[in-house]
Amino acid sequence: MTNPAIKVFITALAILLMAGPAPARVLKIATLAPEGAFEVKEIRKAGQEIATKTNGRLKLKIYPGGVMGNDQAVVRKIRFNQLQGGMVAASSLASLNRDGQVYSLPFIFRSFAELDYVRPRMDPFIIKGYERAGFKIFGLAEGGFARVLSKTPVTSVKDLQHRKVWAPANDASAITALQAYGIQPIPLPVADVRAGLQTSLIDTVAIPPAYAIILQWHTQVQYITDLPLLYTYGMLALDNKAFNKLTPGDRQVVSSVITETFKRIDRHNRQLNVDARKALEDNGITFITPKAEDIAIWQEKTTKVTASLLKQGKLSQEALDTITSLLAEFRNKGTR
Amino acid sequence: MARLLPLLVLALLLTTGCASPISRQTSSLAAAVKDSNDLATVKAGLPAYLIMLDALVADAPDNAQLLRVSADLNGSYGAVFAQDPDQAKLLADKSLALAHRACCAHNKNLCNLAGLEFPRFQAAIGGISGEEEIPYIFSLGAAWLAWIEANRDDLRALAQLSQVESIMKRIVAMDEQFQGGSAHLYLGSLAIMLPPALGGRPQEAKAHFERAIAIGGDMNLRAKVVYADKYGRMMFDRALHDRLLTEVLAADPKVKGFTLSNVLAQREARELLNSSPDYF
Repeated sequence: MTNPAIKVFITALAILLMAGPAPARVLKIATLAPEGAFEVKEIRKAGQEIATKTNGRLKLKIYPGGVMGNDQAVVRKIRFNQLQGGMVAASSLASLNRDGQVYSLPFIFRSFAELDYVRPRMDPFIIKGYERAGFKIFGLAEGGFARVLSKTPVTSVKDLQHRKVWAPANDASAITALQAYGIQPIPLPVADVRAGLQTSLIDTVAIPPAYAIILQWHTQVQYITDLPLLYTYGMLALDNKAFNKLTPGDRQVVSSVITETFKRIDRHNRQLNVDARKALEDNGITFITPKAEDIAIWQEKTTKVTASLLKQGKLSQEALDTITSLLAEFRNKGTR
Repeated sequence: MARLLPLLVLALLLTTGCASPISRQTSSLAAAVKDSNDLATVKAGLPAYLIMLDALVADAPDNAQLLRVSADLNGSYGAVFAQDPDQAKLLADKSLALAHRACCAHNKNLCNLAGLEFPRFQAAIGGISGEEEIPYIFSLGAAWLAWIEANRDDLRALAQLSQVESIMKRIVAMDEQFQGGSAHLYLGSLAIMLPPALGGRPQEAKAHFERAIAIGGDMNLRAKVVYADKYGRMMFDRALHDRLLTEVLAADPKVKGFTLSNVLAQREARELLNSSPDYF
């Protein structure tokens, strides 16, 4: 009865029984998108799928509606390990990955077809930049092409120089870019733009049409300039340290589930902007197509913006060369 | 877009007054529905009432009040009891079309509101001053929001939210007490539909919700449920959320004219409270 081997066995058994299953690991993820938004519904579904596939070892805790602050605050909280991830706009991570903004160079793309040619070939390059900054990214999700929406028609750079143009507060790149066109923007937080339009503090904004409707800015403008000004996108940025603490199997589950989720969000947002166009037409917004000579002036000034970003180190030559060569490849194929 | 306002339209189910142009039997039926605490029977029985209203509307296609009652009930039934999204859309479409017809039948200046660009729409609503218009534009605003909710994935619907806001603002300016302060509930929900960082206005929302509760008193439990759901969740204020819902569950739902609405509000409160630990 006093066999030491039996004692050890009983003690080990007791410890095992007392220990029970390991507590679930929780990845806390925040976003500005409110509850009920497509992105939030999708990431909640992803969380359920991950919990099921990891037998409850891993859960996602979602903080929607900006309860953890704006994108910049979310990134800070990830750094302090108060959060492990955020669904954020690419512009929020601009200081961490200068080449993340290459798709957002003004007028770099002329059409969705060009974009669709470039993205599968260049997304991995951009994602690597975020990974070097300490984030695991599972694919980029389209936000859409920002277009100029205004109270009076805008066809040319000259028109814009005489307008009260909004720029996102604390977005030095956007302000610098607008200044390069000879525009003196009025910086305002996104939260204040609708009121700014209502009171005519500003009269011109640039935003993807779908977001103009979601934010209800569309009721305050009468015109949209039908030029793809710049491309916007977002992503789920997960802290690399938190990701690497997961078992290889759980990492695989997270990667595959969230990658598929972001593919769905990417496709959904494309359609959303197509629908937004129709919605704006239905609401009596007038679409303006600038003349070829005006477009040429936009493009000429854009060259200066790009040169300035390169000079300031806000864009790498490698990123610019890569996208330029892909676009040339596409345009030379004559498939535009 | 956030799950919008299914609870709000419950108001209509309860507030559908049936006066002179509608038969006495119809009025009594509506009152019985309002005072019922038996959701299953109401759910099963209301469709017959809706079909009866269709028949009455067919016989009197320009009867503004009948059109309005029919709009209200179709919208309420769709928002609360629809079996699936397709049925909800069908009923919301029908309700909105009836509400437009009711406005037009009541006052020809309210015809064609649907097709107006927003600045002209705003001017048209701003020009309304008669108290007798209020029930019609309230029904229109409520039906419009229920329609937006039923089509929440369609930006063409979402693009019309500001129209609802205009209507409810006008009602608050003219008679904030109308239907127990319901317009405040709508405005509170619209003010906090977006996070503050994207333009949501939490202080304004809070003021509207508290005003709705002050006007409605203890009779109408749904104000607290909407406040908890929209404001409490968006602002991540669990203490407020859980307190409001606990108060709703502790209250007696049997209040003349509000029983059905209160029973539904308690059902929603229970669901929200059960999901509170996961959400917060």
